[in-house]
Amino acid sequence: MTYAPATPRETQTHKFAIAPWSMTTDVGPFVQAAGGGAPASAAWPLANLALGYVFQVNERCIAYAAFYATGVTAGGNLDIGIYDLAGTKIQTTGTQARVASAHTNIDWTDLTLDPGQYYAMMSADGTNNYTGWAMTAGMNEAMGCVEMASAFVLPATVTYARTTRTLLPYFGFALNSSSI
Amino acid sequence: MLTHTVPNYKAPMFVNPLADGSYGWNMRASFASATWGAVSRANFVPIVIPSTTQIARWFWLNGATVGTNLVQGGLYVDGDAGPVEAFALSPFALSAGTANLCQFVNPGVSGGLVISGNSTTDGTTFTTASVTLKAGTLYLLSVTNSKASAADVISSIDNGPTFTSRSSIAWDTSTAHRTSIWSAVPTVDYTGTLVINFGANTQTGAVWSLSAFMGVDTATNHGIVQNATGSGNSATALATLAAFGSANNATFGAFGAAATAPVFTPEAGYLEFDDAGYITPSTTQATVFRPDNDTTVTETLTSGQWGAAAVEIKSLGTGPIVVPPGRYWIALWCNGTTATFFRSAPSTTFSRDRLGYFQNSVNGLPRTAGPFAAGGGAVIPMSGFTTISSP
Repeated sequence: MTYAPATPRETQTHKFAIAPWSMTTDVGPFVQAAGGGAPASAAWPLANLALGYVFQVNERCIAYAAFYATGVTAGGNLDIGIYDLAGTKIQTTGTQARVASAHTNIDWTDLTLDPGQYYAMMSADGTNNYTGWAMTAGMNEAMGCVEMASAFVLPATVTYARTTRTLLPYFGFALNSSSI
Repeated sequence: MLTHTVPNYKAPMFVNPLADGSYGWNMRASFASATWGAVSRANFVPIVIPSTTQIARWFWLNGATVGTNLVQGGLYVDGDAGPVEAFALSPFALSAGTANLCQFVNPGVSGGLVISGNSTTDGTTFTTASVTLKAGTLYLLSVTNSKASAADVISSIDNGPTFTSRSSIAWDTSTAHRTSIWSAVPTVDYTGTLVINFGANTQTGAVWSLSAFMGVDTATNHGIVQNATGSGNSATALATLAAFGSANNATFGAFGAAATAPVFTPEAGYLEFDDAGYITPSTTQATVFRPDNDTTVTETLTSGQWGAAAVEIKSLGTGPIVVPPGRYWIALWCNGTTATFFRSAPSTTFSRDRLGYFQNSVNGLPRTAGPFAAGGGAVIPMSGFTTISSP
């Protein structure tokens, strides 16, 4: 058997999102295929719970903002960040007041990501509603999602744990490579 | 729907039929808990591994009911028309754990039946059907032969790779039967018959079975650590092994009985590869395997004459298995229809589009796949392997 993988070339240039619907995440194929549909408002499963999914970048790029979406009522706080596979924090937004909006960008210090795999993590300090996908039970774990309890604000080191949650929250990062 | 043009360069943490670059991701059918399609069915789904990765653990997503059935995962090399050789197979495991959560199995020893046969024609040699043996794989040839008295030892296994006797016991009144286990690890692939040679000694018949094992440390004695034998006239056939050298090592047994098949009932935790034989004289052989330790290798039978031979198989351990980039097939097998799994069941047309295959295989995932059907009846189980050891 001879296998010749396609030659990678610059593709994540300009504006591009790391998000649950991205094919650069481990959950993207499922969100786009079998589990797709529009995200909807749902309660955060547990106060101070962090939820995460795996993503990868195949070229050096810059994450210049984080984003999330909520339900209709304001209140509560959240934190979004990027961690390496060992659970070490690379960068987080720090605590942010939850805004009632369809989509909220959080500007942060431009973060250069080298090619590799990372965890996107989001934590909330209450059970306020956030936008996300209601996954079939078990599918989050099978897509590589993780969680950590008592993780608000996001800690310096995350201990990844198996997740039983059905919520796949709408959050991620905006990318570009124009300054590299 | 977003269509991207460049594949991700790393396999996901959980490699499954929905992984990017694979065929299942765009089938647009939801996943739900359901029973397995048929007893002893293996399902194959094509995937792409974009860069070198590793199998840290095998996994499948249990459904609403766990328990009762044995489950095995595997990864097969892509061939001209579907999956062919097993690249790696998981040890089989009892469906267990929590509903709607993944069940994990570490790499270890896997085993399965390749061929079996018998002959009641008196002779000094007995020839198997043609078989393909793969280099580096441990093969165990179990033979039970009969004679009016003092059944003879096998002098050699001819034609194929070099086989070595590992365990043998004469049993029955006047020792009219003998059960033996021989091992081989081919250095090159071999296709052809194997000849069970008794030298100048004529036997009244023989029954044989050939089993293949992966995940074995074959460096010393083909991976056979120890053996034990037993014989008697009772309802419990037993060979007692000494303490195992490692908790990861596996157990294999061959049992003979002076009765007409099927005769034996395996001990819990074992997968029985076969239970077959011939009528004149009444002779049956059964072989059993489990991927972990068991010092009391047992089968039960209607009380009668029996002989038993057992061996400990040395595992390569639970370390990760390196997988080079390429096109592969994820396989999942279950021996029953009680346990449930998360799976997608697209329409027959979609299944054919996605190139799903299935195969009935009573002894676990086969060393060489020979899927007999594409599409219809196929489902896409949520299973595969993880490239990380936790969580």
